[in-house]
Amino acid sequence: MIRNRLSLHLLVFAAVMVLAGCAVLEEPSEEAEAREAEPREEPAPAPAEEPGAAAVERLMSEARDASDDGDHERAGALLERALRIAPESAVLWHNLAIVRYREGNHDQAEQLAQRSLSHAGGNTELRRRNWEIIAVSRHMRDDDDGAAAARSRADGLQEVGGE
Amino acid sequence: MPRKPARQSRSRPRRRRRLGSWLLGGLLLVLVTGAAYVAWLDYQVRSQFEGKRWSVPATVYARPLELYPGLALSRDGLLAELDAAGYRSAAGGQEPGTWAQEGDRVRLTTRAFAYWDGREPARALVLHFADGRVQSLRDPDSGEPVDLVRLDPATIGAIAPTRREDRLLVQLDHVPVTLIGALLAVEDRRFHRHFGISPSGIARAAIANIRAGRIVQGGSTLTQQLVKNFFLTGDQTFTRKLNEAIMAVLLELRYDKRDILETYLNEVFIAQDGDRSVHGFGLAAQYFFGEPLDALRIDQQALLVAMIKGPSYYNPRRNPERARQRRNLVLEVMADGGVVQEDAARAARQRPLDVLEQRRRPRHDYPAFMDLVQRHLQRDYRREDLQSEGLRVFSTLAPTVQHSAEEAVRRRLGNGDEALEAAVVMLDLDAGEVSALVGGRDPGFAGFNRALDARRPIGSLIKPAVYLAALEQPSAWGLGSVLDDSPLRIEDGQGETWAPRNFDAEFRGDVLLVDALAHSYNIPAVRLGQDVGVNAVTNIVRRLGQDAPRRAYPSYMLGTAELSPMEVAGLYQVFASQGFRTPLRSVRAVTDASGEPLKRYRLSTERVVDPEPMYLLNHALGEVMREGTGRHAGATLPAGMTVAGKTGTTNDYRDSWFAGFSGDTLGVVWLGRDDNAGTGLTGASGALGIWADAVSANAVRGFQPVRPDGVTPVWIDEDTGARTHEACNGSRELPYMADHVPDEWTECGRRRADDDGGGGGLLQRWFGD
Repeated sequence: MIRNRLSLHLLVFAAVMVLAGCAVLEEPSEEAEAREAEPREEPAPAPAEEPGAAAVERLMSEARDASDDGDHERAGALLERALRIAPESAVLWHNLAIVRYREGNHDQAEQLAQRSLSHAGGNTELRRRNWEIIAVSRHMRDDDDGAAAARSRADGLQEVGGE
Repeated sequence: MPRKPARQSRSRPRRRRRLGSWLLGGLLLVLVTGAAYVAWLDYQVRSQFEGKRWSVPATVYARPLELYPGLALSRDGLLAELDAAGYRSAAGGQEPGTWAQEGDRVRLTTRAFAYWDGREPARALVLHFADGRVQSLRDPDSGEPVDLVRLDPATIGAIAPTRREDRLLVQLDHVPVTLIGALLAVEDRRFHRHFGISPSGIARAAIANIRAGRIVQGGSTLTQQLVKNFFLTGDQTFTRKLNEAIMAVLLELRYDKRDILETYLNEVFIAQDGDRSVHGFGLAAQYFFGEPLDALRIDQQALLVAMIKGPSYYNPRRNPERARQRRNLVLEVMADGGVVQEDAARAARQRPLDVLEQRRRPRHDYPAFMDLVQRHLQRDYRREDLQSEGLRVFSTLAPTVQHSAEEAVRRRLGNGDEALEAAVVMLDLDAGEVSALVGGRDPGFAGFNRALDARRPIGSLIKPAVYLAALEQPSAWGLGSVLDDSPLRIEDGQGETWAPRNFDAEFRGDVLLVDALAHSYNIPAVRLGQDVGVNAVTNIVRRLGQDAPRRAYPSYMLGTAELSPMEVAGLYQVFASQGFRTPLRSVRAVTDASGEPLKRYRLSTERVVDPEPMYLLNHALGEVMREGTGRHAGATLPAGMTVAGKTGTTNDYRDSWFAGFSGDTLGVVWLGRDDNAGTGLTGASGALGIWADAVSANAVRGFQPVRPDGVTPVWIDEDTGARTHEACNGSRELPYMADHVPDEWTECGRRRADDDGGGGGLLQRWFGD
């Protein structure tokens, strides 16, 4: 049992690393497009059209650097600054969730992912990633049922929007 | 007899010995006393020095304005921000802290500022405005577009002990070298060589003074002046001078020159401003030029140095000519001493004094908000540390929002009923930040802070919690549920009966749930509360972050709960954020005096209400503003600005409340009297107007929540709450939980005929069953 649990943890950890590797602080739609050429749901409007898009872009990239350096405090603060400019950006809420996840604050990671979901609209890929964060965050808090439920939401979105 | 000589011969050396020991004892006594005295002086000077050195109040800053292309900000809005931050208009706008305007273009130069997350240099900008937005943001020299700039924030206050001594701490590294050069050249040439006192300095000063024919140099070293500053009694006795000299030497023995110089720079008395004395170069720079010390030109630096000799005598506002002459003398000394080039000094001598015209307060007083900041910080810091450690506090106050809230209060209360008091809380929604706080009808008066401390019955502001409790049971209630608005009597179990009444004392028979909330009918709310259960309602209130009684009475549904405006803001913030609770913040970060981050207060969030019932409730709160008790705000709000909110009025018009929000701004307004007498105002006729003014001035985004997947719009018959078709009379589209749309249908045409025949109550029974 204990061994099982441990290996499960390792599995989750691996999943998180994958998650962190691909999703952290990146515009998911761009990345998704790079991965596959198939037509898919329209990503968020092109940055140049949104007021403050360049400012948000800059803060987001600084946040990415800070996060990669392990400076979660700074990364979080930069994302909060960006959120004050673009409070309805599901991507910013998502990235803040990842920063909190990375520093081990699983409760806030889930809550921020929930908040990202509330702004994600039809962005299936982003929704899926938020459910991923929720799943692993719940797992880390030993809420295995909750984790499974979130996992199946994520998998459902995979089938609908992905591949 | 024979003994006598012997005794004498014995007694002489003894006497000599005794004399010796007396002398020795005396000497010892003098030494001990002297040592004790010196030790006492040492203690004095040390405690003073440490105390002075560290006794720097915390400085509180407003939130910095973020400038970027596309920002919703008009030119006049920017100018108001600049004014609050102490910028001034100057041709060219090329000096840090100045701006110049030409049509819809504004050129400005920011001031260098150390934020909690790093220092940003001064930079020049050209902004172009159109359609209420910043169209472009460019570097005027390169012409390159600029993404994002923080405008250095207004200083909104200091957390100081009651003693009115003000300071803006400067660190030695941030003091211009020319200023230090000027100071040493004029006040203490041998500063780096003497040991606290300087006999040759005194001699040199005397010679210099004779040569100049007037006093250009003082004999005391900076160290002595610093000691003198510690003990502010001005009598010039010999003992004092001696004490001063001893203490100066002690100070030099204990501390290094840098510490002494830095303390001097922050301690020296430069001017008197009413009941406030201006100490230190940092504050003096702000006070006379409205600029940080490191942004001063050399003529401005020279003027500050010039004033030390006689703060009142050389005050440039009162005695400009005298001050100008002394400044030029300082510039001469600077050039002679090689501190500046001769031609630079010559040019500087030609400049006007350039002090801020009349004493213009770049600081507005924000007592209510400062009170909030202090309470926030006292959770993490001791009061003494806040008052003495020179902490830098980065608050969330938005000066323009604050000014518009104050203006709204002033405009609507005017010179009317003097006893009518007001409180306003404004939030920047997404960040969960308090952007403004008004604690009374006179916002500059630091008295009773009603925004935080006036706990008053909230009246109908509680109703959304009642309706939310119902909407969370979608199998039982939806927005189109028919509620009973007929006379109601409730037994309280002790023989007393309570018969709630509607505001207009009418009974409407049947009303749709959405309308009962929009028009704030009391009887349906009490019935609904009875049906969902008081505990379900108090449970909601707790989830929204406020306390609720363990046992509540039916009258709880009409707002007997007493909350402060700030607490109400906490409740409504959850509605505005579509079910997410965000603990409200008034402080973003705190650094120590040298800019090292100490603490950051993060944004945190938690979903406490599910998206579907939240969306339904917010639809009803929107209906309040479209059709209900809040509709009159529409005349004030900008066209197309969608908002949601709720009015509140308590018995005998004691309290007039309004709480509401756009997509980005939440406001809570309370009007009432401190003696709890009636005001004659309802929420709609009182608080709503102030709210509409304040929100109109600041809201950019309307409140347009995204409809969750689980919610679908349904056509409902207004009279019966049954489903109908869009084309039918009395049809109305309402959002419903997709799994819980009503089963019953009404037929249009037939419904019309029936309506002529009977009352709504009858219809409800026919179709409902």
